[in-house]
Amino acid sequence: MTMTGVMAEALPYPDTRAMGRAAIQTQGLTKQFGRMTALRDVGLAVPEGAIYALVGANGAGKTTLIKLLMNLLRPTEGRASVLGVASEQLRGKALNRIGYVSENQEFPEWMTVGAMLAYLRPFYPSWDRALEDQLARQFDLPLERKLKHLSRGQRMKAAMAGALAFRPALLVLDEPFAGLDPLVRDELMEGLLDRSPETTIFLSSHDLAEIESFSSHVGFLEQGRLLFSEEMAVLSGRFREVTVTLEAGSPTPPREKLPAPWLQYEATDAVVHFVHSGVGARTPEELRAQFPAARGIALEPMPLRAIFLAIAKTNRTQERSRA
Amino acid sequence: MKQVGHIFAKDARHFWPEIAVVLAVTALFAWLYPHTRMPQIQAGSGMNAAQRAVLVTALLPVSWWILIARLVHGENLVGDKQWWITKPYEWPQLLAAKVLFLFVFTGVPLLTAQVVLLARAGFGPLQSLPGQGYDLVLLAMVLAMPVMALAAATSSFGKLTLTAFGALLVTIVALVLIAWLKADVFSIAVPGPLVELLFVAAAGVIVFTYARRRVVLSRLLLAALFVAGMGLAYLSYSPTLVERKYRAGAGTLALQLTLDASRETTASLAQAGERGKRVGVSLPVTLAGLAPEDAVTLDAVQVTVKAAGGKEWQSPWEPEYLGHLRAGNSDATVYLRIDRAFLESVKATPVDMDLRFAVTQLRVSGTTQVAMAAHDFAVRELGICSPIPDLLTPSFTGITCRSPLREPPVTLVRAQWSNEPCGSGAGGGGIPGAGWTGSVATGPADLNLAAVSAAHIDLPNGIDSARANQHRSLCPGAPLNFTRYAVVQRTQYETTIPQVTVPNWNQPPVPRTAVGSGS
Repeated sequence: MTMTGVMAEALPYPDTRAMGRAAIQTQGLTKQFGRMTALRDVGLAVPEGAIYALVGANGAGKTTLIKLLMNLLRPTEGRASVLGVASEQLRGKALNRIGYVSENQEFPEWMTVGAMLAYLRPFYPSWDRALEDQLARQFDLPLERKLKHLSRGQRMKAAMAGALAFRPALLVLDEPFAGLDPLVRDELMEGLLDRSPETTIFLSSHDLAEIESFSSHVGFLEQGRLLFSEEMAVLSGRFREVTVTLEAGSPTPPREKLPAPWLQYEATDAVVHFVHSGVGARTPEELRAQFPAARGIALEPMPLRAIFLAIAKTNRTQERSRA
Repeated sequence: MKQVGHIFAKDARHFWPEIAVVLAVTALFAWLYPHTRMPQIQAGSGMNAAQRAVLVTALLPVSWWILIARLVHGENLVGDKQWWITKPYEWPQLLAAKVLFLFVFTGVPLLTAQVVLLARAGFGPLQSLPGQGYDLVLLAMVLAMPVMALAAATSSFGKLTLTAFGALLVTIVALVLIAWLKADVFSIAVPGPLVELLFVAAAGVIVFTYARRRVVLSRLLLAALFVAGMGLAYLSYSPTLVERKYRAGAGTLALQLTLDASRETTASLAQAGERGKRVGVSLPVTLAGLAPEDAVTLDAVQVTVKAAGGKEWQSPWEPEYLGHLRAGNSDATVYLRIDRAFLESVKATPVDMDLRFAVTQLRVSGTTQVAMAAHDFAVRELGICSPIPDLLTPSFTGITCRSPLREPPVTLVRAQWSNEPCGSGAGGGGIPGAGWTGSVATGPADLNLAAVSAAHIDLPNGIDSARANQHRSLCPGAPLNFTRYAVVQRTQYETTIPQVTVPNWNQPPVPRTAVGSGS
């Protein structure tokens, strides 16, 4: 069984009973643009209160998935619900509780920051004027300046203030930190963390380092497929980099009989190295059984970046071998 | 409704330059428009003022175009990156805000300009408000709605303009093609409900686009409406429409039309359309039988030419240009276009001509007699008339009349020309001149930017050919008679003119407008 196979079995119809109510749920979500499939059979569930990071390389389908969720695109197949509303019905009042910020948004550039916030106020019954003022101070927003005269970072902060000031139940962010300097990025993250867990946050990013520190859940999109979607702690606990030191000439398990959770398996005469994607309580014992002549077995925790690279490389190797 | 006012206020702040342009052009329009059509104001203004007025009149729809496009694109419906589409806009309120904006910043200024124009033309503006409202609806349907529908389905002003020019080009080509295919065939306005359905459908596309933002589908719907519009244009040439509007035997019509043997039948190669394939035949006829209070308009004619040996040829319904005929207009000339090959096949032998006319019968509904005045004078149920001053003498060479909102009903204007300048004390008056004005159209208002319909009354005999083509005069105090007519029925009149010999058509062409006296 391949890694992809494991995920495909586990994820097409996520069981949200164990995780409480889902702020976002998709089933078999597929989007085609002509002959090109941008998103294929995506099933995920984002529990309420989570900070869910959707990661993947550029072109993996993150923005397409977000646009489907926000009813900016219509799915070719499958369905999605956002805060209990079918995504295709997401308009008008249904957007009262959802904030959305995207790096690609076309803003009303003729407005000043202050005018934009003032314009948004009456649209949201839950708009919190005190919070608006607080965000304006926190983000150091130039209220009198027109949006078209703002830097990219200032514009994102203004958009974020507009998306947070009504205390949304869900905040959807498409690459909110892309191209921002570290200071602005930190300010925005701080602003976001202040809102959690009152607000469920769903954000996309291709920068793993930036989301690792504050995401509670993570999903990984690769070429339109969701390779996995789970809690960050579970993911980190499940993956270990395994190094086995052997006596020279000791037998190693044949490659065709390697357990499915072993990824990127490399073996030399004295050292075996691989990524274990299914670490559990019995893993050390199992490893000792697999390598009876081992002089040493080391299980090292992996950073998120290394986990994703292992999964992505394995997936691509499998795709190539299938092709 | 909270969003309506909020979006409206935002748009008013954002589009103030465009609003200022519309208001300025509308004000200029109210100021300058009378120079185009109101001679009493035009006198002394010169051509430049008239040209400026025409320019401003043309600029008014252009300024609306820009405003509507900018307004709709302010909340662009095309694309998936717009900031506003992820905000809790209620689409009915968004659409209502846009419509309200257009009413306030194009409708109200235009209504105000019309009130000014009506007042300047001498009409009490408040009486015309309902008609102005109707006119505004017509203008909204014909001018604003298509722009709004196109703007809703395009993402920028440039794309909108290109699309509109493309659509205009295709329309022109299609209409030219239809006109070529249906050369000289009588066209008739398609039934109102079909046209209204088209506009309701266009409004439906706008609503659909705002409600669903399914722009591709909206574009397809707009294209389908465009094709339907072209279909209606083609349908307007359908003989079925003529038969429906002018029902044979619908009512009695006292009319006799016979060939006038005292005048010559002439023929020439038809001037337009299928030149060379048709022979234009001018048939002098005499009318009789019309009641003194009646008049008729021969709107169209269909001729069936029957020759010896059972040979027969039938024309489509073709327009006639005889104007209004009434008892006392005994002479008229019916213009027919007959297939040249058919006439050549029957050589110069006499043929029978079965003529079928689409006739509008009119009857006198009222008469007003006024004395010619040296200044504006009111004519009941017609409007206000003005004398046209002669530049050299204290005389008047004609009259123009203006009406609020729409053309007046069909009216026969009769005057008495004087051979001498007014005030000269010389006699020689009493030369009759009678001309028609007005239209049979009904409705509270015509489609008219200015809400004032003005027309020069063409009174024949105004030139004295016996005296070096000198102008005759209409002098103050001379009686002017305005006889109004109302439509009694639209029907068909059939007659056969036997044994007509079509003369050699290789003669200089007979002018197409050579008709009998229209008075």
